[in-house]
Amino acid sequence: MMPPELHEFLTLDLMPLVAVTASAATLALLGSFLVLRRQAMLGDAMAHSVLPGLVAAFLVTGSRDAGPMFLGATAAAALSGLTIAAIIRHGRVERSAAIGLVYTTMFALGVLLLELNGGANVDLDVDCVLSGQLELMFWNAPTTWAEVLDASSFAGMPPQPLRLVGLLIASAAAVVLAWPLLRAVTFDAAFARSRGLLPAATSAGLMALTTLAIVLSFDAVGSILAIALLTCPPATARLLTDRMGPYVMLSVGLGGAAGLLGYGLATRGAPLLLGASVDASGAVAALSGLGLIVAAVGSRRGRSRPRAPRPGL
Amino acid sequence: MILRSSEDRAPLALRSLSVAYRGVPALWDVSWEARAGSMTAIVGPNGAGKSTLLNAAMGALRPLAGEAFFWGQPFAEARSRVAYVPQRESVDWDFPVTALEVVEMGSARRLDWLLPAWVRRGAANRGHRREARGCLEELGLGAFADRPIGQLSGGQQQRVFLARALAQQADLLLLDEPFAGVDSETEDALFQRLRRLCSEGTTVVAVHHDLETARSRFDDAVLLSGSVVATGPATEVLSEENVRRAFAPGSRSPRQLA
Repeated sequence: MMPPELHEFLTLDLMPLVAVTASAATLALLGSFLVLRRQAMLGDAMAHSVLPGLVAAFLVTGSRDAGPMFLGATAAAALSGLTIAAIIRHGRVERSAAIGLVYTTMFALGVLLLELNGGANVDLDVDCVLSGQLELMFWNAPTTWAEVLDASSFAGMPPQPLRLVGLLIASAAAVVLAWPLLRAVTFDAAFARSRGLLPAATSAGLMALTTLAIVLSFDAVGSILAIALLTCPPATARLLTDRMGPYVMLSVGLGGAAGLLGYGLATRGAPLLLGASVDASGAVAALSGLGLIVAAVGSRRGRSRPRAPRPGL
Repeated sequence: MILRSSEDRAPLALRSLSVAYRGVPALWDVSWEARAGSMTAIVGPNGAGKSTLLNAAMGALRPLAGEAFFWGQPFAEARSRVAYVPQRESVDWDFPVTALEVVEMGSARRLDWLLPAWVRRGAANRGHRREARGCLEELGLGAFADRPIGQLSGGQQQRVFLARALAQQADLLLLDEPFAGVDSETEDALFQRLRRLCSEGTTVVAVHHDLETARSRFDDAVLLSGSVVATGPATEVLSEENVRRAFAPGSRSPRQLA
């Protein structure tokens, strides 16, 4: 027989823990490129703008299946991207102003859609969109060691954590495979273009992967977490190293650690300290932000760094 | 009759090239040929279309009309023989790469763009690394190879960019303000290096802001002010009369375009 504590952990905690950690690590990995391109705002915008697409897909299909949700989110992301481009072009508005204008509107639209249909749908409400539904990911785990060896006991696993692990592996493989390309395109797009490297297509691919990560994370852990993890771990890692390889790996590590520790803190630490468990995705997001503050205060790089003089300034 | 091989053709030939941004012309009807093995300065006031000329020639901007040929071919066919150095301010020098890693981008070919260096440990990869280090040493940056580029001075950063171009072993260098932020001593060394490349047959076309050195250091010049004011030997093109015409207020297109 398996100890009851272990069985309880497997049933209630393992799947959320895997989901939150894989999601955090993936978002931190992809976010590290956004931060390098100084496009963190764009990731933030994407995380917000996909909401009406998710809600619309849910209202049409009546389920939280990943396929339609992803289509809806992609449509919403594409619509936002085109609207932003159109506003910049015809409105002659500054880029960040156009992004801010569009994503807040899209997010508001999503919340409105949710509220209007809130009574009819217990499956999707504002709370779960903001902080996900980790608590719903339970696994009818085996009770004896013999069952652990039986493949059928894994069939009942919830799909979200597995999808997130798959996405983490796929993203990591893509980044490793295209590493020199990504580095050249991110550092100097004009040079990359002169070498025939297609910087626009590369960043579009990266953006598509980021949107997919946001959608899968959104569904699993909510939007606060997605936004926080796209930016905080990379920004923290950037304060700690000047090399790109260590920067990206550190970012992934910090994201994963925030996921593990945040979940542990929310479900185990908080009951001891506060007498009740707290929202896990909130704890993970708060922890990643705290890491950034600690790094900013503590790092020598943050305090004084030799900077190259810029001409004309 | 003998067909002329592409080697006989100009390294860069522009035919009635015109470019517009949002309907406002930035470059108008430019026709010009670079002489093989020469150094040409592209000179003109802000917004004269100097950088635009390089970008349009490489197809990074779609021209309104006209064409650009490299040894008689479009850029896509000739890109392996062309090294482009963008303006220093166009990239983020806080980016976490070392000088050597930047220069290695110059020696990378085809499949080198896939898989990080720790996966590819082959002899070819070691060769590239040695080449890249050699290019840095040649420009006096050997000691800075493993430094993050953010720790280098403006002049050193400019030299890293030139080292990357050298690593490409190209026959034509397109340089956008390669001497911006470079001290006069370094500028002198860089000019000597470029001159040596030219004597080996390489062609250099550089956007340049300083009229004095444009006259004394370059063979040819293209004086731009939206359209071509004059082309030819640098000292003749950059006569006081021509320069006054190009830099006179109201001589260029109404909107300032870099």
